[in-house]
Amino acid sequence: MAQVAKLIDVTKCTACRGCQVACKQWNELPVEAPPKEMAFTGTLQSHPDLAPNTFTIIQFFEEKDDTNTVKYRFRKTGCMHCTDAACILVCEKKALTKLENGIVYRDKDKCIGCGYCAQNCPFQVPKVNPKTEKATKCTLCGDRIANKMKPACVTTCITGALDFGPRDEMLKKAKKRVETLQKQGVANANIYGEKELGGTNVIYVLADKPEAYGLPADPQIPLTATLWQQYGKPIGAAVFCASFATTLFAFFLNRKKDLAPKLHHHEGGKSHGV
Amino acid sequence: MAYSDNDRFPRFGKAARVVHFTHLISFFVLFFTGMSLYFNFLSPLNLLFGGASSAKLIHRIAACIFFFGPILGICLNPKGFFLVIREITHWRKEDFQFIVTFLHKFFGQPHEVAPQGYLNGGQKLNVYLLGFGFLGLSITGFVLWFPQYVPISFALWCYPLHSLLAPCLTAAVLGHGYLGSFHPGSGASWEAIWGGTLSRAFAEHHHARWAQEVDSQLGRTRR
Repeated sequence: MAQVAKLIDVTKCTACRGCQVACKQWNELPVEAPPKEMAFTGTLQSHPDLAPNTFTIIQFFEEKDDTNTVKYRFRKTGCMHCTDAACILVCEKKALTKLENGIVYRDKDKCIGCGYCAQNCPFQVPKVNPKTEKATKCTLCGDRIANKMKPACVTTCITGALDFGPRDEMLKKAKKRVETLQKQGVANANIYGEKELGGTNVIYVLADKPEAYGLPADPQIPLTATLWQQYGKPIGAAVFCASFATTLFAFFLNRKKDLAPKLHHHEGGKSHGV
Repeated sequence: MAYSDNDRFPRFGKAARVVHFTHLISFFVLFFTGMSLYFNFLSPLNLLFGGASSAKLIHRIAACIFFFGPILGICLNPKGFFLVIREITHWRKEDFQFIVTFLHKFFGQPHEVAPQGYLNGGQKLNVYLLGFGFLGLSITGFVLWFPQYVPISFALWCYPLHSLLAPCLTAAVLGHGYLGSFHPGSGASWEAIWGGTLSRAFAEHHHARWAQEVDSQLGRTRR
C-alpha cells in the first residue's frame, strides 16, 4: 500500500479551528473539563495543549513586528506519524505500530497507559487519559482512510490549508508551494517532515524556521530511549538470567554438602569452612 | 555469666525483622507486577493481579510500602541504622579478605574466614548494593509515576535506569536470599532475621570479632 500523508500548509491557515471541531465530532471526543488555569492568559489559542480528548489544536504563536503590530502564526498540532517513531520504540506492549500506509496506529486494547510514549515523543503529542488509563493521539482517521475518505479535519478545512493523499504527491505539492512562497518573498518558507525522523506522514509547509512554530529544528528519538531499548533492556535481562542461573547452579552444587559452621573453641583467629 | 555452646547472639530487633519481611514481600510484588507490565510476553501474568490496570495499582501500592517501610524502620530504630552506617563506613583488612574468598564460599569450596565484625565484608558490600538499588529504584520509580513534576530530560533518564536497576537489584536479592536462607554454610543466618538471634557456632564462624565483643559485653567467660 502506498504511503499516505496529510499536508498542512500553515500559510493558508486562518485558525478558524474547524479542524478541531471536525476531529472532535468524527472521533466522538467529549469536551475537556476546563483546567483551573483556563482563565484568559493573553492568547486566543483555544486549549493550552493537546489533551486525551483533544487530538488536534491550532497553536497560536504571537509576536509584535517593528511597527508594534501583533503578528500571528498558526500551526495545526497533532501526531506527526513519524517513520522513526520514538513512541513505537518505547511501547512495551506493542500497542503502537507503524502501518504500511504510514499511520502510527494505536491499539487501545493493548495500551496500558504507562505514558512512556507521551514522555518520549519529540513533539510531546500522546496524552494519557487518567480515567481510561489509555494513551491517545491523532489516528489520521485511519478508519476513514480505509473507506476511501479523507481525514475529517482535511474534509472540513475551508481554506485549503489541509490536504491529504499519497505521500509523494503531497511532497510534490509542498515543494511547489514553497517555491511559490519564496517567489512571493517568503524567503524562509520550508518543508518540515520530508526527512525528519525518517520522513513523517504529516508534512508541513512553514513560512518560517520550525522553531518559530514550536517545532524542534532537528527532532530525534531521545538518546535515553535508544540506550534503554537497545542496551538497557537486553543487559538487564542478561544480568537477571545470569544471576538466576548462577544461584540455581550453586544451590544444586552445594545442597548435599555439610558446610554448617561448627564450634572450634578458638580465640577469634581465622576459621576454616564456608 | 557462664559460657555455653548453646549461647544465642542477639542480632536483629523486632522492628528490623518486621521491616525486612515487609520489604521482602513488597519487593516480590513489585518484581512480578513489574515484569508483567514491562515484558509484553509476560502480559498473561497481569491476570494474576486482575488485569494491567490493577497490576499497575498494586505495583504503586507495593512501591510505597517498599519505600516507606525502611524509612519507618529507621525512625523506629535509629540506633540500629546508625550502627549499620558506622559498620559499612569502616572497612578493615579482614573485610576485604572475606570478599576475596566470596566465590569460594558461594560455591561451597573450602576457604579461610578472617575474623569479622557485626557485618562481614560480604554483608557490607550487600548493604551498599541493596541500599543504592533501593534508592535508585525508588527515585526513578516515583519519577516514572509522576513525570510531570521533574524536568523532562531527567525523567527520560529514569526510564532506562529503572529498567536496568530492577534486574540488577533482583540479582543482588537472589544472591542475598540464597546465601541467607538456602546455602548450607550460611543459611542458618535465617534464624537471625526470623527469630532475632544467631547460634554460637554461626556467630563465631561468620562474625568472630563481633561474637567476642558480645561475649565480653554479656560477661560470658569460657570455663
